Amino acid sequence: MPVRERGGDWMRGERWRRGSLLERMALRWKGPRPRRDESLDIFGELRRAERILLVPNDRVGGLFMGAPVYKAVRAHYPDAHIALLTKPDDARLAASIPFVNQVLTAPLEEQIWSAAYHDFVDDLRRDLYDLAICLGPDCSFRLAQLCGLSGARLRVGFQRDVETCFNLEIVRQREEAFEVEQVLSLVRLLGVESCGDVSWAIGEGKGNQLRERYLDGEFSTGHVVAVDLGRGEGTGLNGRQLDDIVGRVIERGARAVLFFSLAERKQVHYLTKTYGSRVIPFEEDDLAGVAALLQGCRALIACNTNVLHLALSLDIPTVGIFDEDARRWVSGRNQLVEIIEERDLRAISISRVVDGLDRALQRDSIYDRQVVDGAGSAPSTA
Amino acid sequence: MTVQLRPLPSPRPTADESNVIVLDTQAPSTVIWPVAGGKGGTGKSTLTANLGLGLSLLGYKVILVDGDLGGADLHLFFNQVSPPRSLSTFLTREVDQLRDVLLPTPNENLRLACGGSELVGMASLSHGAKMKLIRHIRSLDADFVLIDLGAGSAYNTLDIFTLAEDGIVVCTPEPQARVDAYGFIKNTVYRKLRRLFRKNEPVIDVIGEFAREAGRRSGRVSDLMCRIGDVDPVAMEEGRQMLTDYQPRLLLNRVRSRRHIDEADRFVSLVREYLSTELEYVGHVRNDDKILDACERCRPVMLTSPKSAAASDVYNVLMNGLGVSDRLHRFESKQYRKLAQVAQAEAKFW
Repeated sequence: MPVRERGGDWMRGERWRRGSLLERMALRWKGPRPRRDESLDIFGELRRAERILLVPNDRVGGLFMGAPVYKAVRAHYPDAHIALLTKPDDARLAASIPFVNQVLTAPLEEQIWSAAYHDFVDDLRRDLYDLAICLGPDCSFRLAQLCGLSGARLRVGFQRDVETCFNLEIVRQREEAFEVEQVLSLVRLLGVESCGDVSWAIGEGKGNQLRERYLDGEFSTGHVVAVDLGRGEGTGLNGRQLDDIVGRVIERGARAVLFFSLAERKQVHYLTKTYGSRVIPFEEDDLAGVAALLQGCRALIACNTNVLHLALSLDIPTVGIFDEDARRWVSGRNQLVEIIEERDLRAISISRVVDGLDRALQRDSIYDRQVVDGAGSAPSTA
Repeated sequence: MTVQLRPLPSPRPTADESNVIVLDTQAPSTVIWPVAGGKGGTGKSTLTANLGLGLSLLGYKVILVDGDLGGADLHLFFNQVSPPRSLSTFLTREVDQLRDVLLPTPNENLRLACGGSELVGMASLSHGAKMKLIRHIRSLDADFVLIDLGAGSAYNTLDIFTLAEDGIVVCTPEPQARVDAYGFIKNTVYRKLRRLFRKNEPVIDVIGEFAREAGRRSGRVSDLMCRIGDVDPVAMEEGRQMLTDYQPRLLLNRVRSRRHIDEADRFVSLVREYLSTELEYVGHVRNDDKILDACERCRPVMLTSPKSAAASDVYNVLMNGLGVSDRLHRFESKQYRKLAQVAQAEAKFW
């Protein structure tokens, strides 16, 4: 049974970024220490790097945001052994990424002074990495420390206001900048140039089979709208708001695919009882399955960045609901996303969400028209 | 401002292939549960209809196939008095695919392939027709496919039952039903052994000879394995492995007292001792007049009386005996009675 990841304010809190006092003390006194480098030839190390450790942000959506970097690093170091260090929840998804040779799952559920954690760090150090890059501007203390404790000769990460084990710290330009651009600018400083965007897809055979089974062929008519019930890292929408949103989707003659995690099961139960077969619940622990169903959906309404990134990557019109600066999570260039920002998500009115959905669909219809007619045709609404 | 939803344009533009990360997902699996029992009137169709509905309420996609060729009645639980399509439509080649004869039910997750009894000779399918039916049943796309089989131990019934290693044998507490259930399981074991060694003539001869002797006295399958071992030691190992893999389940219906459940335990031991087969007891359904009421109303009892003893037993069998978890994570297996709430809500849509 999947366990909901710890989210909410905790993920943006001090303990998330700085680690607890005990964790810091354990690291300082009991934990394995990073090697002290007396001198460092940065450019020489970068040239010689043959074993590279990449550590994506462990905030929700971080693995997606790092994808262009994995590709860029692979292009720059075609023969290197590249390992990706992820949190356990992301391990299955990470295994699909072709640009890395190995996926390491950080035992983040273990105490920092436990034998299992020490064994993992020992294994990491035995792998003798030349270069470790921590891609999370605000990833957890634990993951940043693991990047440092890997023992790589060159350990690069964003500057943090706590002790880290990086020996090359990069200062962030603007906190609110799109995260993909932030991490790309970090690797650009190391001489690694971007190779363009990366998109996600699902094998067509399996995808079709999943859609046939769960959407009952409705996907061919496009009358399916996905609603992500997941709260992501924030407080999320409340039950009444979600009920209203699903009700409005169904009023328009569409069916609603509800993506949910264990924490939202009661909400799913209520919506299933209320709307019967007009809602199609699907658990989001299998993101590949989520992607397959998304491809059969006309649009997505989400405040969970994992599913949102997946939808944007699949060119699905999306209404993204954020309780913080959305520029950090969504590229300003993306035309298919309609952003709703509100510090207090509970204050968002349903008409605002529905209008957002209309606008996203309208943009998609313009986009479709351009694709079908070729560039330069006059945009039109459906 | 309102935008009408429109059909998806296809295909959507794809990016350069080198820029695409293809997500790996497991192809959704399909579990096939044939339901048989040897004796007629043990409640196979009733339980198949209720188990199917229960699975669909748990969030799974379910297809019910009425495999009682010649005596089809599963459709009557879904108020389909005269189904427009049935297995005979498929077997007479009016449609190419078995999935084309599936009928919807008021529950989105549940579909039905009605049996075809209107054709004379439907109960005795030719080998080719049987293999075609089996092939198409295997290719049905659903989380669960439940096949309601007829009474008796005809080869067609045995072959469809042994489509899965864990088919469900429905039995009532009466001695006659237990004898028939034992005979049915024995026949499936011998049928599987014959199929396994169909190209090994010496072993087939040993099985034939032993089966004839076993008709006169109670022969243990373990003794048969020893005799096969005398002829072909490798075949003996294969046969033992087959018996280990074969694990049918026993579901006791119309239970009236605790004694009946104890007798079921003894029946399981008997099967283990004589047939070297691990029969798993998955639970019981109490004798309940509500089932008869539901049958009269052409509905599964889970819908007409979701809080009845029989309905509660079906939930218990599903979530504890058969180990099916709630796909939507609403209830733990010990909270199986809460499924009645879902069934009550579902009844509104029927």
